[in-house]
Parts: sequence; structure tokens; C-alpha cells
Amino acid sequence: MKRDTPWSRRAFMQGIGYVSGIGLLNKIAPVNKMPEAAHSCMAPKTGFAYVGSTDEVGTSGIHVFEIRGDHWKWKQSIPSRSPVSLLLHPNQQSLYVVNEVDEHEGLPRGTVEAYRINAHDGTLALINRQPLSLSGINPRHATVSPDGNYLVVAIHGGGAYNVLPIGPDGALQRVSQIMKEVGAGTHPVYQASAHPHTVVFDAKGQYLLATDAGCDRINLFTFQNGRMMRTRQTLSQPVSGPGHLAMHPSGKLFYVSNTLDGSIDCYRCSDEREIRHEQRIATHAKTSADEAQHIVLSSSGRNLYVASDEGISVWEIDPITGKLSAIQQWSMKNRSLRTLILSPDQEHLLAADSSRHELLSIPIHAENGKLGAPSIVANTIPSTSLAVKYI
Amino acid sequence: MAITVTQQDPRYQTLKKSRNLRLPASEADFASRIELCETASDTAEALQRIVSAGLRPTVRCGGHCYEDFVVNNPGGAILDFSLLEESHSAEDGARYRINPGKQLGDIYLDLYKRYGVTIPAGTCYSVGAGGHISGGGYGVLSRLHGLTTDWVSAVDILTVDANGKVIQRRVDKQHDPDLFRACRGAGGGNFGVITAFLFDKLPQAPQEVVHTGVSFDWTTMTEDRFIAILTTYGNYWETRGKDPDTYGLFSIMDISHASTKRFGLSLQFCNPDGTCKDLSVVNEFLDLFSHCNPSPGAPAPAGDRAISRPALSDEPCTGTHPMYRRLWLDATIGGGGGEGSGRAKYKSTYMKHNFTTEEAKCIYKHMTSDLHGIEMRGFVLAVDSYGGVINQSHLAEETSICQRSSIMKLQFQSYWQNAEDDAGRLKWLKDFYSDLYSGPNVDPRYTHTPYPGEHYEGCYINYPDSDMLAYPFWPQLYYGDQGLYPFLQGVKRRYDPNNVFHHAMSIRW
Repeated sequence: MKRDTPWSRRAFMQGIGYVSGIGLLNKIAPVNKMPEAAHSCMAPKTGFAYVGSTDEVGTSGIHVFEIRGDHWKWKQSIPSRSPVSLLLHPNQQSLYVVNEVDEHEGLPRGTVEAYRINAHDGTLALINRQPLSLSGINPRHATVSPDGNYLVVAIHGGGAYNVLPIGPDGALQRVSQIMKEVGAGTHPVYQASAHPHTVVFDAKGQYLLATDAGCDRINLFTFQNGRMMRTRQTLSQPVSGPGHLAMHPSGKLFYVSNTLDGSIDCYRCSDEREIRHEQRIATHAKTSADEAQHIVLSSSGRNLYVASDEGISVWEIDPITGKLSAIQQWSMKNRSLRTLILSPDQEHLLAADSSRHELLSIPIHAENGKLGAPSIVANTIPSTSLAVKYI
Repeated sequence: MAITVTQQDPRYQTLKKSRNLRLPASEADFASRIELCETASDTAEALQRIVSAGLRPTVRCGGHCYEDFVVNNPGGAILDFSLLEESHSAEDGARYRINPGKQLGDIYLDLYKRYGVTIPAGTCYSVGAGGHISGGGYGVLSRLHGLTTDWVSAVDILTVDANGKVIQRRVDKQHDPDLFRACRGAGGGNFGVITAFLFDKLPQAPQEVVHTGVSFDWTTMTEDRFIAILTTYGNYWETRGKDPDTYGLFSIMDISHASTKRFGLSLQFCNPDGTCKDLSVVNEFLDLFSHCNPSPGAPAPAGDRAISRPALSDEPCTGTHPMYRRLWLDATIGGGGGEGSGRAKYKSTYMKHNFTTEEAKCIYKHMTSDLHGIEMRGFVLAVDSYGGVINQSHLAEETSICQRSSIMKLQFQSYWQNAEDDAGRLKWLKDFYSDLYSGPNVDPRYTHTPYPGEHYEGCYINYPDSDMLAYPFWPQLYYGDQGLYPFLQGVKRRYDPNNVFHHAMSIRW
């Protein structure tokens, strides 16, 4: 049972620090450095970063940083229970937080939170907190519809999806639809019931793709008038535990990292919404039933990035078949990259290292998608989620 | 096919409701449809349809649930059993079969007229069998014959397997015995949908009973006299009430607020042979209160559950205390009850010993205090006699009712009509309950609750109280701390791995 723990600003500030430079990482990470000229003539990117974290004793919160290139300056910390997933509204004016908790006000259910983003300094103000449906415990992921009108939550523990309308002011309204899932896989411990892991909208907001780690299933839902309808289900490899899902910009391909065997699957989605398995890659990464390797697709659709305890593997995507070919293994010893996102300008990967409690910015080579030398942009307490907006 | 009533159907506004108009808390919490099931196969088909559509099913038999476990089902579907027909099968053999949608009053009539037997169940005519029996089911014959769930021999139940398929099961001591035990007392809405209870045997219905009672004047009441009344009552159940010749005596002391002017007790009695030939037990019991300045006759019942009041046709008995002899069937169904609707809130306590002086003082304090702006009538503390045949310790292992040492069961009740009184009413009852369980009898770790121990045995799951969710140990209040709850969690994981059946106080897995 996860409960509120008193958040201590002092405790956070003791753990937080600002670090610039890449000296340490240069020694341990044999990476291809980016040509200095590629960045030196450009004005530093500015914006705000939002980091969800939970430390070893369960103290959790969201930390706001002001971004100036590779310099992240701490601005604000606010308490939030187990902020496992952060996501920005399409208008960039609100931030939504998924709280991975199993009880709220005495009832078995998780919560989601809406925060207003101050346009000038990026700081957050809580708009509201909404409970999920009864039995909707330990949600892990959510997605906002492209029109910004709905939040859809994948409830890992409770085996369900919830739809919540978003008001004009960014507030989350009460749950308007509950889609209860049933199912099981063959793993006796981790697959006794359905565990929706990740849910993603297509670009037009007409359908949702979702992974279910509990029953080795990929679900496709049609989304109309704020309601999701089961449309297609595809079984994945037994005991794979589909986890994170990344949709290709073409809308015809998507990639899934699996929680139980560490593999990566490529699927094709036809115009008729039929799902076909295309390729399976065994990554040999250490796997955790609690978390799949994070995966990120470049906006060009040329590359897939996969984060694991060993570092980041870079894959080239065949433009015709969608199949993956390894082009770089970006190794980092004694690090554990649990959170990986693409910067808004698509020029960097931003990662949270849960072992060393550091936030990293890793440049992406524009021509081939390979990764360059990272910068430590901030130190923080263990981070579980990350969202960034540029201004 | 079940009859589906959707939001467009004119029947929807009527059928969506609970009898307790306090529930659910929000209009948006109502279910989106009601499936009226007429047969077990209707039920299986409707349940499969609901699960396959990703909806949540809840089940309604009589609609008497004290909390929002059924009607708080936003976007979901209620399986309503009020039209469920009897469907004896060859497989039943000589067993008695009770369908869960049937009302207790109809069951009493049916069993008596067909077979001369009965179930030791509750006093409200319209309570549905499904929730009543699966949560224990006790009433005025329970000291003589035990709980209704103690008599259950088998249960027909629909469960939903890991892949979402509806499975029909007949469970008993040989087939899925763990689920069978869980269905005997853990409460409704936990594991599946019960479509029948089967009984190898049932107790003979009494031929006749006597009804009587005494009442006390609040306007002249003193704290000392109130303490004497309460401790006299409790002492009887802790001592003499444990003798088998008294098992046919069942009493409810309804302590209403002082503004009602009178409170008192009512009782029903029969000898163990189902007759009223020897009334010495009743006279002995009533004599105990002679020093408390009683008036003959029970006060008007304050709630919707009570031992029924005498009718003109009843036969007066000769003796010191006025009492009336009635045919058992008339006495049992004559009072009706449970038909009304309004707003209500309940709490409960199992008591293993008599009231302490401190407890009696606390009850007196609250029942004589006024609350500004709140109408105090409608607050009732019903102190039911308990024990007798119920307290067979081996039944704690065979059923999911672990409370087998109590001598009284308390039901805290509040009834009102207006929604604007909700907050004040709920707070008064909560404060009263918290205060009562803050004394020296209560382990400081469990203050404000009757946690199972030397003095108390927790709470009754058929009188659920969502206020108890504030305590992380709420499951132990209802299921004890001797291993029953972990057992039920195991049953839950095995038979409902996807937690299809859930409510605010369902077994958490």
C-alpha cells in the first residue's frame, strides 16, 4: 500500500545539484562525439523540464527545471504521489500526471492530476486531482487525444482503461468511461490477470493502440465521441509481456518493448486496422517484470532508440519493411536509464538515470541518428518520468 | 434473454435506484443499464455480454445493501434478480433450493407451506436472499437455529475465469470447497454471481411464538437507571442467555434518541420444540427489568427492522407480563418491513461481553444530547441478542463468519429524508461510534473501532460501513485477524483473477 509521505523540500535540495560538463561520462561512455560546430553556432534551447521522482523512502514529487541549452536550473518542487508518467497537453499549457498508487481516500483506485503551467516561468499549479474508477489501482501510463479533449489512462494494476474528458481550462473531469479488461498469460506470477501497460493515440485521434503485459496482447480500440470501443486484439509471443509502445510517424508501424523477455517487436497496422507481427529482436537486456525498456522513435521515423541498464541501442528502421537493424550500441556502465524521451526539437534524447540520479541530454546526429556525447544537465533524486517543453 | 433496461427506457429512472436514497453519492455514479434476469441461463448470458463489453457487473437481489456496492456502478450494468424464477433441477434431488432474488417473506411462506421448514433469517420481508445469505443471514430464530449460511449445503455460482469466460459451478464441501466456504458469509459482490442456494436440510418452523416487550420513559430517565437497564440486558445474554433453554428467546433493544420520549425492547420466544407451552424463560427475563421502572409493551419500532407488533387477532397470554401468542407464520410475515425508502446510514459491532459502565454512560450521553439544526428522531441503536447455536466454534472454520463468541450484536442506525441533512446525520453517527470505542476496552492501535479482541468481535459485513475504510485494518474488523481474510484473498485470486466483481469493501487481492 502506497501512502502519502511528507515531502521535504530540504531533503530534495540535499539531493539535487546542478552539474555541467561531460568529463566523467566521456571516460565511461565510448561514444561518437558530435561535431562541435553543429551546435556551437546555434542559440541554446530554452524551455522547461518536468521530472517526476520517488526516492528510496517513498517521498515523491515533481520537479521543475528551466532549460537553457545543457544548463537546467531548478525552479520548483511540488509533492505528488508516485508520479510514474508525465504528459503535456497539446497546447503545452497543462501537464498531466499519472499517480501509481493503489489507494485514494480509502478506496482501491489510483489518481491522475492536472497542473497549469505558468507560461512565463514554467512553474506548476495544481488544477485538480481525479480518482480513477474503483479497482483502478496502480495506473502507469496515459495519453492525451490529439485534439486535447480527452485523457486515456492505462491502469496496470486494476486491469482497465479510463477515459477522462479535459475541460477548457485543462482540468480533468470525472471518469466518463471505464473499459474493464480481462485476460491472463502463462507466467504464473506476472500474468495472472490483465495489466494494461501503455496506451497511445494515432495522429488523428481515431484509434488507440495499447499493450497488455498481463495477457500478451496488443489491443486496438476505435475512439469516437470520447468513447473507446474494442476493435481488434492480437496476441504477442507467449510470456513476452508487451510493455512500452511507440507509434511510427507513418501510422502503419509500431514497436513494442516486452517486459518479460526484453525483446523488441515490430508490428504493422493495415488500413483495415489489422495488426501483423513483422519482426522480433532479442536484445539480451536485463529485464524487469515491473518495467520494459523505454523506446523512442525519431520524428523522421528512421531510428528507434531503446534504453536499458546497459545503455541505449540505436536501430535503423527499414523504410519499406519497418524492420530494425542495429547501428549503434551506446554503452554506459553502472547506469540505469529508466526514462527516455525525445527533446521537442528532436535533436536530443533526454534520459533519467535512476542509478546515479542524473538527468542526461544526449545529442542525436542529424544525418544518421546516432548518438553523441551526453551532458549531465541536472542531478536529482531518483526519477521515474520526464516531460519537456521548449519555448 | 434478460430484459435490458437502458437509460432511454422509462423504467430506468425507477429501476436504477437503491432503497437507500442516500446512494449513490452522485447522479453520475448510477449504472447505465439494468439486466432483469429471469433464469440462471439468462444470467450467464447477460454476465458474459457485460464482461465481454468491458463493463462492470454488480448484482441486486432485494436492493437493501447498506452502502453503494450495487448502485455505484458508473457506466456499468446491474444484474437484477427480482424476476428470477425458481428452477428446481433433477440434480437438486431432495434438497431445498432458494433463489437469490427471492424476498425473505416469500421464502418463509414458500418453505412453510410446502415443507413446514424455515430459514433462520432476517425480519424484513423484502430483503433479498442473495446478499442476506452470502453475508451470513441472521434473525430472530438464529439463537435457536444458527445463521442461514450455516445451513447452506451447496451454491450455484457463475464465476469469470482468467480469460473472461463465464463458468457455471456448483460448489460444496467436495467441489471447489474454498469457494463454497467463501460464499458462506464473506458478503455479496466478491467472487461471482450466485444463482441458487441449496440446503440438504432445514429446521422445522416453530408452530407458535409469543411477542412482548417493555419500554422506558426517556423524560424521567436518569443516567444511573439507563446504565442499570443496559447492563441488566447485557448481563442476561452473557450469563443465563447461554443456556440452551433460552435459545428460543430473541430480543432487540431499540435505543432511540431521547427526543422520541420512549425506548425499550421487544422479544420473540418459543421453546426449543417450537411451542410456547412454557413461558418461564420470558417471565424470568422480563422480571429482571422490574426495578428499572418499565412500562409494558415495546415502543414503536424506530427503524425498518423489528419484531412485528401484536395484531388484534393475537391471543393474549395469562401471566404477570402482557404478551401475545401468535402463529409463527403470521408473526414472521405479518410485520412486513423493508418496503420504505429514504436516506439511511448504518454501523455495527459484535460484543463478546456485557456493556461496561463507561460504554453505557457514553450511549446515554449521545442519546440525550441535541445537535443544533439536526432532527434527532431517527437515530437508533439496536442491541440484538446473539449467540446460542450461532456460537459453535467449528463453524468459524466451515463458513466465512468468524464471529462465533458474541452475545450481542449492535446496529447503529440513522434514518432521514432530506439530502441537506446528510452531512450532519453522518457526522453525528460517526462521532457517536468513535466515542464509544475510545474507552479503556479498546486497544489504542485500533481506537474508534471495535477491533476483534477480548471485548469485541469486529463488525458485520452485511451491515457494511464505508467509514471503516479510513482504517487500514478494516478487513480485520469484518473478517477477524485469524487468517480468514488472507484465505478469502486467495479465493478471490483463484476464482476472480481479474477482479471483475468489486465494490468499495470487496475482498482486495
